[in-house]
Amino acid sequence: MREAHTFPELPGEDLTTSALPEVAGWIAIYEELAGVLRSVLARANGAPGTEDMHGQLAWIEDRLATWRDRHAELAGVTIDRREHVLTYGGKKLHLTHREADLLDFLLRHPRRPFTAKQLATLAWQNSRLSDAQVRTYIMRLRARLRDVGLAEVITVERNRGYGIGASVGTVGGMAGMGHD
Amino acid sequence: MTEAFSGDLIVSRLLIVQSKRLILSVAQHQLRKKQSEELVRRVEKLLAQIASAQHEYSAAVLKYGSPETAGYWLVAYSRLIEKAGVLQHGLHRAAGELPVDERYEVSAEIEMLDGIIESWTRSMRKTMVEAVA
Repeated sequence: MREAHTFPELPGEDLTTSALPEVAGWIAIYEELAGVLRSVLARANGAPGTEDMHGQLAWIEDRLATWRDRHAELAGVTIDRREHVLTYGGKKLHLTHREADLLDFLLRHPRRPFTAKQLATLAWQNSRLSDAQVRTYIMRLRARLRDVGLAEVITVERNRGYGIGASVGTVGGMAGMGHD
Repeated sequence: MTEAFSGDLIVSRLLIVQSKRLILSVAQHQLRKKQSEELVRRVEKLLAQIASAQHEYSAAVLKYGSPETAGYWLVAYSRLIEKAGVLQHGLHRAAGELPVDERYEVSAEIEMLDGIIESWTRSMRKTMVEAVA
């Protein structure tokens, strides 16, 4: 992960605050772009003209990873996935394996709500978890995040699912997201 | 899903787009003849509905369309170009506000996106030419 803010900010300028929603937006578009490209390659793999697309997809995925890292950096939240430790504002919080995977997944996919089923499959690769179990994990994680000042980082959008909300990096984030 | 059903789904979504466009042209014609708040709202609503219907149509083509047809590739390339264009525009707009070191990196990213969009645009044109030949 690269170091943020190598150059000093101008008086009154807060790059963290101004850039975070932009970066989240780019991540969302890169995800869509990669999604379309993956689906095209899956359906037409080997067809003439698709050779370059593999390279383009690799580049897009690389940029996506870079922007996800940058987003986490700007948000000020880091998760050590091996040790399952979250650091925010100089405070450390030990998470369980599942909690760390879930939060890391949500932070890497800002501005997008995920249903309980999607989270079970995408964040934990475990489609057997019931919606109620996922809800319980999320409730417990949200309660624990309160201890480090991230009480409302995981937000709930009615009928759409869970996402990363406005409190990360103290900027306005997901439009239309409410808290439960 | 059977091939026939997939084909029907694509055609039905295309018909929705086309019928919404016809309704829009009637509404725009009425608006040109007589300005009214209600008609303006109607046109705006129809434009939003067309964008959504177009999105549904493209999604159906990408999911169920045959990559052996020109129609599939036209939708695929236009979707890719549209997304990359939005990204390029957003990066360009924000580049000036980024820290200097990051600005250089983003400039290189914009250039790379330029090249990718150009290559997709060329491929799309080629597909169009082949389709009408």
